[in-house]
Amino acid sequence: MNMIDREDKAKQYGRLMAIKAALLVFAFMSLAAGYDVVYVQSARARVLEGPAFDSKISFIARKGQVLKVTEKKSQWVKVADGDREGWVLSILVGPGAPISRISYSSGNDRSSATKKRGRVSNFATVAAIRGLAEDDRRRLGHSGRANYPALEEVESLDIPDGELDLFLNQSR
Amino acid sequence: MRTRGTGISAMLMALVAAFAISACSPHAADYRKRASMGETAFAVETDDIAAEIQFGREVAARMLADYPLMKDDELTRYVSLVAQALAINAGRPEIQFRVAILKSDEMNAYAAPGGYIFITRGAIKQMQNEAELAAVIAHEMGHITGKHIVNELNIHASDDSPVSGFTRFLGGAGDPAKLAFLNMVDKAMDILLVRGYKKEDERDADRRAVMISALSAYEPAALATYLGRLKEARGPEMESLNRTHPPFQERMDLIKAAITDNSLQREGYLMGVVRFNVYKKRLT
Repeated sequence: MNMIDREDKAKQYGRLMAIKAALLVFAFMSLAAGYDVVYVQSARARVLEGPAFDSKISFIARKGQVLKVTEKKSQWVKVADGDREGWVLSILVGPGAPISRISYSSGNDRSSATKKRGRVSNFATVAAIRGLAEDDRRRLGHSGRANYPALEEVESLDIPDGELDLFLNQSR
Repeated sequence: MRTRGTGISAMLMALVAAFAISACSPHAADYRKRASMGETAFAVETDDIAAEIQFGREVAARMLADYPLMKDDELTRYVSLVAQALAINAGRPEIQFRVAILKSDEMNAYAAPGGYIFITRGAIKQMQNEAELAAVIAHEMGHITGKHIVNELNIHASDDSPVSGFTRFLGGAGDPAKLAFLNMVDKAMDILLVRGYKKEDERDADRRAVMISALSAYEPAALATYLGRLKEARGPEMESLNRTHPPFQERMDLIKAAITDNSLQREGYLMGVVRFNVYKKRLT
């Protein structure tokens, strides 16, 4: 093989590799495409064979589980998980992963919302916990009053998991 | 000359072709966008929820200035337990639902964004069982899970929203920011106490109440039964409910249709008559 033939072959090989690389990039982009998905928000969600409460259970989905959406009908969403499929109530699923409960703290820390990935909210200050002061409202000429002590009393009630379990068991 | 890479190349090309076909999905572009947003989208969502809770607290504090809190720990705890039983199936695990009983003979219930639910003493007196209590709480939960006030008033955490601006800079917030925030709270109070929600939001809350009740094993028809009883009630205590909600018969018809359409009729739902009446006695 002479030098010209080798150069031609090298150029052809280079072109072919460039095309393959472009197609592979395109393929990976396509992978990220695909479907609408929903995440299970409740602790568990019954996925039924039909969009009706009296349908047989197809499978039980767990909190955070990702399900592919194939159809929507009224209060129901048809979902698939691999080769399993069925209908789940739309109120039990959502477009994003379930978020941990955001609770309100009346401590002195600057943030009252803690994010899973450690990004501190720039959201609430101690002053915000107490709300606008009464003199602020008066000075602004705003007549609306607010009862923060009563609110804090409402927020102070804590129901431990064990007490809720007992309550539920007494009912069933 | 056949090279070692030729077979691998053929496989790769076949794989590429298969994936390329999947890119024709109409949802491809949107999902890629959402997937690429990743942590940003997550952070924006939790900020929005925190904004909702912050705003809801202000609305709740305003409600508690207008209506005194009923201070009965046992009754409040019981009502809260019913709410927590429903919350398991409400579909908003990030929200801490709280219920307070208002010392008022009006027959009504209210919901502030962020999980704050209020139910009047007068409303509880009209109920006959725990399923009816659950139904009313579930209806209010429906306003919160449906984000009716959040969407109506566009409560979110972006830099230009009055809610976000206020809460971020509360200590040194300028008067315009504080006034804008107060005006938003006024609008929420107007919805709750004066003009009511949009009709479609009330219908949505009733449908959600039926679903949440049934999922929690409470009789889903209990809300219709309770409304049927209120329909016959008269007097000034009914004024606020009549002003802020659609006609009773319309609501009862929708509830019955939701039960039928979703095949919810069955025996064995929880009514909770005995347990409810033990606590209701505390109101006399």
